Amino acid sequence: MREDKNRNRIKELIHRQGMPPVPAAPPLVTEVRTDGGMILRKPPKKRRFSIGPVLVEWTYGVPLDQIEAFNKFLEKNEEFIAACCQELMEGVTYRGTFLTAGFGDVRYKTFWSYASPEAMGEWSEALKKRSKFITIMTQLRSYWTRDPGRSEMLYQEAAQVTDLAENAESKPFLQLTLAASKVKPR
Amino acid sequence: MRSYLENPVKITLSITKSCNQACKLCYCDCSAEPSSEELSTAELLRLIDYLVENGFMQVYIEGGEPLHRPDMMDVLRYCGRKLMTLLRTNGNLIDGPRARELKAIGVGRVLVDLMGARPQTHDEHAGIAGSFARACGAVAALVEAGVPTDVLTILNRRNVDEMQALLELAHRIGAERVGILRLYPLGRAKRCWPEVALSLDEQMRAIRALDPPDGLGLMQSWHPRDHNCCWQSATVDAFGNSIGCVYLREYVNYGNIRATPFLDTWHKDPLYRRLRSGEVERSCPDCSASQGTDGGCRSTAYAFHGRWDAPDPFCSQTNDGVDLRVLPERLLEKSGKRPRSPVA
Amino acid sequence: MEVCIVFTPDNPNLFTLNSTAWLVFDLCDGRSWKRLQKAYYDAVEPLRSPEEARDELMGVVSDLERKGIIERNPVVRTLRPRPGARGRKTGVASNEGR
Repeated sequence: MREDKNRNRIKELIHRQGMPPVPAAPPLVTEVRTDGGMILRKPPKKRRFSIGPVLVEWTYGVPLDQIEAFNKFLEKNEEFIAACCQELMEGVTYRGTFLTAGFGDVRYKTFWSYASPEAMGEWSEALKKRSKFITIMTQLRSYWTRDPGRSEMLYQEAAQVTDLAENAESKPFLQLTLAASKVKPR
Repeated sequence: MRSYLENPVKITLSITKSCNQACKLCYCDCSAEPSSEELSTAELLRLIDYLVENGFMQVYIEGGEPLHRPDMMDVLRYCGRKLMTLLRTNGNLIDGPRARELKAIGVGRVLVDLMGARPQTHDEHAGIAGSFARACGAVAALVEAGVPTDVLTILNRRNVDEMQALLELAHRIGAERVGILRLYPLGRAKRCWPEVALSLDEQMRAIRALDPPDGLGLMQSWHPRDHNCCWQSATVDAFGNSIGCVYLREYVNYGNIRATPFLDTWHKDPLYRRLRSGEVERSCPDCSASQGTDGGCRSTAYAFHGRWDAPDPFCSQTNDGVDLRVLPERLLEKSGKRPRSPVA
Repeated sequence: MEVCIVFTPDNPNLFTLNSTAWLVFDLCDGRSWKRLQKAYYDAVEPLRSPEEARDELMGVVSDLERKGIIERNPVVRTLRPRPGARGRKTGVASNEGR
């Protein structure tokens, strides 16, 4: 039974990887250059299908008489925004601006993906410098600020948070929330 | 980028503070006679059983000079077929028959210290004449016996001009790899630091100038290969103290295995967990990318900055102007080491 | 993510087995080649064809044998771990993003 459990665990590991890797059994080398360090392979940083562990979404409306101008602004500047994100920041990717139309209301969503929560801090250095990038970013953001119904949401890959208690270690309010969820109603 | 092991895979046993040499840079400050407080043979064999039962796969034995312990061959014989066994030695107690014996009992790799490419340099360091010849003889004997063998050296002012010659020598006598280790401010090295320490520029020049012969592996941890290996490090010293890494010996004590099972120290000691978490203030992106860890060596970061999450000044990208030839005053004062756990 | 680390005392070495190599090591429990082939294919289909799975299996079995991790019994045509070889799973994970 214990053998079956172990075997099932290995099969589950293969399943979780998606495409089964070609079987390999390389030597495990220890290098001695400070303490003896084994060269153990690290798993890939990013899950293959994912557009990023962290996503930020801007949602905003643009008045009908400004839509054509805004879309032309995007056509002119999106490649540049994307290239600047790649060159000036580590782990920040512009994912595009999309429009959605329904019931007479045109709304936009702009997406940014981050390789880690820490990558969101990359903006602070990039935004310190006066540059064409900042000018264009300011213009893009101004469409968002002008809509009183605007919103900004942050999404985190759910599969990265399999242990809520561990995730809450540095987040007091999340700890409070988890404790509150255990309180039975009177 | 952080990575962690749920349970350790390997362990270093800094198995004795005794030695048959009187090395000028000895981190352990070894003596000729072993202390009676060192782990006994029975305790070591029980520890090996514990390691095997708890899934350890490799043991790296160093000292002092491990073979200076009268029971060392018995210990090696006991663990040779149970764990991948690596032995670090000054080589002076290894001749042909002993090399063949080490092969027969299943020692997986031996690492021999050579502190220079010239007999004068090495013998001056070792404090005894003839050490160099015996160490080279040991390498040759081990290779002849079929034991994979490496050479280790500690880069310092007295041997910096001999590094290339050392690589060539090691290759000639059959070593597979040479490990060039940084100088740590510990033990006797700390006390003669101004005479032996190199500036970071001098170290980087020496490393960059190296041209290993074809077929010789080179192990070194300067930029961009500065590795924060705390995440996988487990060490027990000669007295049974769990200390994470031999280079933390003067700074930490996570508990004594005579009173606390080793894995309890791994899982429960807050500082041990913190160092293994890899959280640092800053990291060199090149070293992070090549090594998969952040921040570089914690021992030298702590030694020079006094903070566990400081950047490693041995990386040229995170040196921050620290002169590695000058030790902070606090390091030269009485060690701030936590008291050892009481032994049952 | 877990890997399997194997120690081979006869020729002292350590090896890391990825998930599929690990499964093969685990499946070499004295079974026949035919049963091994079926079990391996069952684990990797439909992302491998039967022929791909067979070729892959032949490759890794030869590799594990050469490294002293498993051995064949040519008389009864079964495969099993080489005596003394032992493996353990090792959790190695990146908590980037937490």
